[in-house]
Formats: sequence, C-alpha cells, structure tokens
Amino acid sequence: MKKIICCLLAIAMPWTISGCQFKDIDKRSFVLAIGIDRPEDKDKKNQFEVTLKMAIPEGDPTKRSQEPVVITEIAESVPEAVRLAKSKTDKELDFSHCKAMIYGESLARDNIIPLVDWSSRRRDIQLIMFVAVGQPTAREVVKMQTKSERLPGNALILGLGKEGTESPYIKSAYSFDLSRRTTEHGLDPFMPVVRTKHPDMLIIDRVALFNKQKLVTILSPDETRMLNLLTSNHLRSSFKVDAEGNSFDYNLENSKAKYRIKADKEKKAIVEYHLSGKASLEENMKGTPVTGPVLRAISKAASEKWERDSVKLFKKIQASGVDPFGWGLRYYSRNWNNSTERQDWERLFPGLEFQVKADLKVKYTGMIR
Amino acid sequence: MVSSKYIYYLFLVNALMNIINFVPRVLIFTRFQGTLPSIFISTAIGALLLYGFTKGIAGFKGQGLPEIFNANLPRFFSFFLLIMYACFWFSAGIITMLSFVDITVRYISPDISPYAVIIGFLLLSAICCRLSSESILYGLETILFLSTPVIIYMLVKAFLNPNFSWDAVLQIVTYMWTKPKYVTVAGATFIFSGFFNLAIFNRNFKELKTRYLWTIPLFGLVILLITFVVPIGYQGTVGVENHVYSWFSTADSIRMELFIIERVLFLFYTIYLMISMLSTVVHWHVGLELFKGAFQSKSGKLPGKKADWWVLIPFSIATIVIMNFLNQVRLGQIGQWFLNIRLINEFVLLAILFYAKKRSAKKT
Repeated sequence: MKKIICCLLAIAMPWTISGCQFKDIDKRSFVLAIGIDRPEDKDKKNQFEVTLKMAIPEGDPTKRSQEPVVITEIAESVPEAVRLAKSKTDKELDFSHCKAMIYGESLARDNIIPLVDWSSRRRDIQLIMFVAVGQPTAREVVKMQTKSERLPGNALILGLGKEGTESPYIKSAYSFDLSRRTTEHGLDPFMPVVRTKHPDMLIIDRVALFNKQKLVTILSPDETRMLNLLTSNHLRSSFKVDAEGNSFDYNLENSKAKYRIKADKEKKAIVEYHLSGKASLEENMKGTPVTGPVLRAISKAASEKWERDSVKLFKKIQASGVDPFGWGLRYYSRNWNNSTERQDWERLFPGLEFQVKADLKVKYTGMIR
Repeated sequence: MVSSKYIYYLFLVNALMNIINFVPRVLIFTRFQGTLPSIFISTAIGALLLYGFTKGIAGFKGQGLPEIFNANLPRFFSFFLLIMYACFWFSAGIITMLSFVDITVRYISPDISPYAVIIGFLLLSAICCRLSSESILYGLETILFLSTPVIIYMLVKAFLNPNFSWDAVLQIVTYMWTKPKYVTVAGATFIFSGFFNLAIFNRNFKELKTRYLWTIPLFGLVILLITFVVPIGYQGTVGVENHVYSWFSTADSIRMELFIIERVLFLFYTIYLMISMLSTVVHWHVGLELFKGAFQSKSGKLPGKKADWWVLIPFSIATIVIMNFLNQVRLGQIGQWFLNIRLINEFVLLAILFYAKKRSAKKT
C-alpha cells in the first residue's frame, strides 16, 4: 500500500513542474541594455522613449554573428512602452540579464525619480545593473555597435564596469547605489556619462552630478579623474606634472583618500582631506637623468598639483550645491544631535572650507634612470 | 541519544533563518526610534530566557514538554497548554513557509502559481517532520555545515565591498539614545527562541551540558547587529525602508565578479531556502510532537504514527487557506503579531515550567 502511494506521488510530482508556464530559452529575447529618453517630438514632451537592446540566444557565443535587435517605443510611461515593445517582437522579453540602463540627457536634466523607482521595483531587473547618462540621447548610445563588441551590449557593460577596461575617467555607478543616493540625506547621486562618437565608438570620460532629482552639472574628464581619486582607493591612473623645468608623467600604483570634517561652534566647518599614493615614473620629456632629489621634487610638485586641483573641484561642487562625496552623511554620522544636525549642516555647507594634504611619493624611476 | 552540541544548532538555525523577513523588517522600521537599544535589551532578555529554560528543562532528564506537563499539571491544563503551544509552533512554521512562498514567487518565477510552491513546501515539511527527532537533529547538522560557510562568505563579501557605506551605519548608531519599543524587542528576541525547541528535543539529550551557553547571547548580539546593519549599509539610512525584503535586496546589491554566477541573490536564495525549510521542519516536528503529547494516555502511551496525518493535513489545509487571505501587507502584520505574542508566550512557558518543576520536587 505504502509503495503504491509513493509511486503515485512520484508520478504526480512532474505535473507541478509543467504547470508553471515556463518559457524555453529559445522563446526569450534577453534585454541587455535599456535607454530611456524624452521624445524629440515637442507634443510628447512628457512621454518616455524607451530603447531596448536585445540578444537572441544562439548556440555558439564565440562566433561574432550576433546581431542585436533594437526596439524603440514611445509611451506615457516606461512600463507602457515595454508592453508596446512586447507586441513588436515574437519572443518573450526577459529583463533578468539587463546590465545597463542609460538615462538620456534630456531626461536626466528633467527628473530621474520615476525611472529609479521603476528599475528597483521590478523584480527581475538586477540591482547591480550599471546606470549612466547618455549623450546626445540614450537611444544613440544603446544603438551604437562598436567594432570590439562581440555580444550585444557587451561594450557598454564592460566599459561601465571594471572587468574590461579600467580607466581612471570612468566612475561606475550601480542601480542600488543610485537609488540609495536619491533618498539618503547628505549624499547625492552621480552617474558616468556615455557619449557616442561616430561611426563606432563610445566614450565614457565624464561624470554627471545630480541633486536628488535631476542633473546639475557635468564634470570635465580631468575633474572626473580627480573625483575618482578622491572617492576610491587603489586608483590606477597616470598624471602629468611639471617639475625642475621639465615635464614628467607618472603612473599611480596605489592611492588612498580619506577625510574628516572639523566643525566648530562658530558656524564654520573644514573638510580635511588626506591623499596618499605611490607612483613610478612613466615618461620624462627631456630625458635628463632622474636622481633622488629630482624624484623628491617631482613628488612634491605632484602633491601640490593634487592639492590645487582637488580644492578647485571641491569649490566647483560646493557652488553647484550637490554632495556626491557624502560629506553631509559623514557630518550626520559623527554628530549625536539628531534633531538639529540637518539644519546645522545646511547652514554650514555654503561656507565649507577645504584643506587638502597630499602625500604622493614617486618611488621608482621605471626601468631606466 | 545525541551529544550536547546539537543544542547550539537548534539556536543557530533560528538565528540564521530570522533574516528572511520579519525580524529585519521590524528592526529597520523602527531604526530611528529605538532599534539599537532594543537590540541590547533583547540580548539580555534572550539570555535570561535561555538560562531559565535550559535550567528548567535540564531538571527533567530525557523528558519533553508533554511528559513534564502531563505528569505534573492537572490533566485539563496540560491538555489545553499543549494544544496551544502546538498551534503556536505550527504557526511559526507556517509563517516562515508563507514568507518563502512569497519570496519564491517574487524572485524566482512570477509565472508560477503560489499554490504549486506551497504544495511543494508542505509536502516536504509534512513528510520530513514525521521523522524521528534524532534524524532531524542529524539533518540539522548536515545542512548547517553545508550552508554556514557560504553565509560567512557572503557576509565577508558584503562587508569588504567598497559600496558598503559605513557612514550610513554610523549615522544609525547616533540614534542609540532613543526609547526602545516593545515591537522591536519582541522581534529581536526571536532569534534566541530556537532554544525553545528543546521542549521536544530534550528527549534526545541524556544530559544537557551547557558549558558554552554564554557564547549564545554573544553570537545572538552579533547576528542581530549584522541583521540590522548590512541592509542599511547598502540601501542607505532612508532608502532601506523602501525594500520589502531588505536582505534579498541587499544580496542583490552584492556582485561576485569572478564566480559562476554574478548575482549573489541566487546563491543567497538557495541557501536560505534550505535553512528556512529546515527551520519549518523543526518547528512542525515540535508542534506535531506537542500535539500528540496532548493525547497521551494515562499509561504514558503516545498516539501511533498514523495519527500524524490527522494533525498535519488540517494544518496544511489551514496554511493554504491562510495564504489565500494574505497579501504582502497582511503577511507582514500577521508576522509582527506572531512575534509580539511569542515573547509573552515564552515567559508564560517558562513560568509554567518552573511551576511544574516545583510540583515534581514536592512529589518526590
């Protein structure tokens, strides 16, 4: 009797598997990148133009036969546009492998909140998706097919992340980071900016700063690199410095940035940064021999240059009124007067002063002296 | 008979399981109004309950709660109490299961019918909870051995990630001097209540050797702090409230660049599926044994194995019926009510246990 019941149960089990409307992989198309713009059409100013870059699963991923499918659709909301796009394709759209979301510049200058909400609310969109601002439009960026791209959307994904190229000008941002920054007090969002260069290139060398809602300012490549240096450890980059009537390029091998905020009662606060790094020489313009004193002089000049550049960047960011570094959060986290700290900080922020102490050591001259 | 180390596993499975739904929810919900002091208070309360209960039950060697109650309390009371506690233990399992059905439908496949998922879970726990207590303890050990290293790996990964914001965590720490709340204390003490499963599993211990009992409050405190702090480090002090399953969102925010799969979420889901099913099985096993204990005859004979289904099938049907009524918000409320009542109930259980102990001391 028992055996019969067990057998029947075993036979009954597979029915539950077939009951779940599962769609096979060859009936799915995987969305790998989404781009969202405001339509250029003046009448549709408040609508959304959604561009989906999709890959159709194929047998052999090593062959470069993968042609992406790009669908663009305009609707009053993003989900609506996605539904419309669904009726343009024969396969089920699958967002679970979507790794990049591009906010068109026009949209980013308007309001990003509904999209941040949409992408974190949807269950199948990853929170570790990369986000970026697209110039001139997100559609252009998503559509761009670079020469080096072997899988659809891969150039964008590798470019924004750190697995492929590791450029000091790329400050990558994840979706969960963006969504936390849109809500957190004293910490504002940023996103890298992806530009297209015809015929087949994507350039990522700037970073866009946001207040909680919209794009406020875009930093230049040099400022972006400085921001990267100030916000992350172990940045790999090269910098140029003039010293001893000569011009040198050094390669940063290790870097570290930390800061603290000194606030006193008299309505004044100082942000004290301490930068340190180790570097080796990469180029020497005039080819004069590099001795110990020269190395020290280069180190000193480079440190001073860092100090000047970073203070300039701080002043610029302060003037635009945003806080991508999270100074506000740092201030709140170090102060116990929870009810008044936010008013205090709002009062302090415009008058913030910056002190940067850079301690860069150029230690090696490279393979030759 | 099993060795004393299994006591710690009983604690550990509850402590690990808590992070899937209700405990982090209440901790995060009151993060500006007294979570941190509540955590410290509940560690003290948890330690108190823990020492009380082990001291109490260690006096009855090899006896479960049914034997203790039936021998030392008036028959009517013991029957009533055992049925009540059985329902309580069953509902603990049901709530875990329902949360996980919701999570499965949400994260794995929204197309799948929740009924298919719940039937799978019910079959598993109903069949497994009929095993002997000893097999369940061995299963507990095996699964914890498999999953704990992965959990530790994920935690290390979470803390070493440069995107983990210590400033957000410290900002929450500055809310230390706020008034603790009962709901938060009730939620936080839940992680210590794995111990109460000794109510049945005490039958299998020859002697409760509790030399390292002091490690449990310590571990409990660390686990509570981790439960509370990691989602805040990833979702921010304000944004963390927006996430329904804050730990699953947190797992989704961590990336393993150089692993077979990139999303920690799926690893996390699999591990927690194991642990929460295990915890359901343990709870249901205790519930079942308590229920059967209520019908213990005067001569001490327990109802036979076949009677199990008369308990399990009604509870399984009840689970499906409850699931029908619930949406996400109601499930959260019911879970919180369960936690609130649980804390009082544990104190009541402790008081009855000591009363029974007194009675049994008088008898001899």
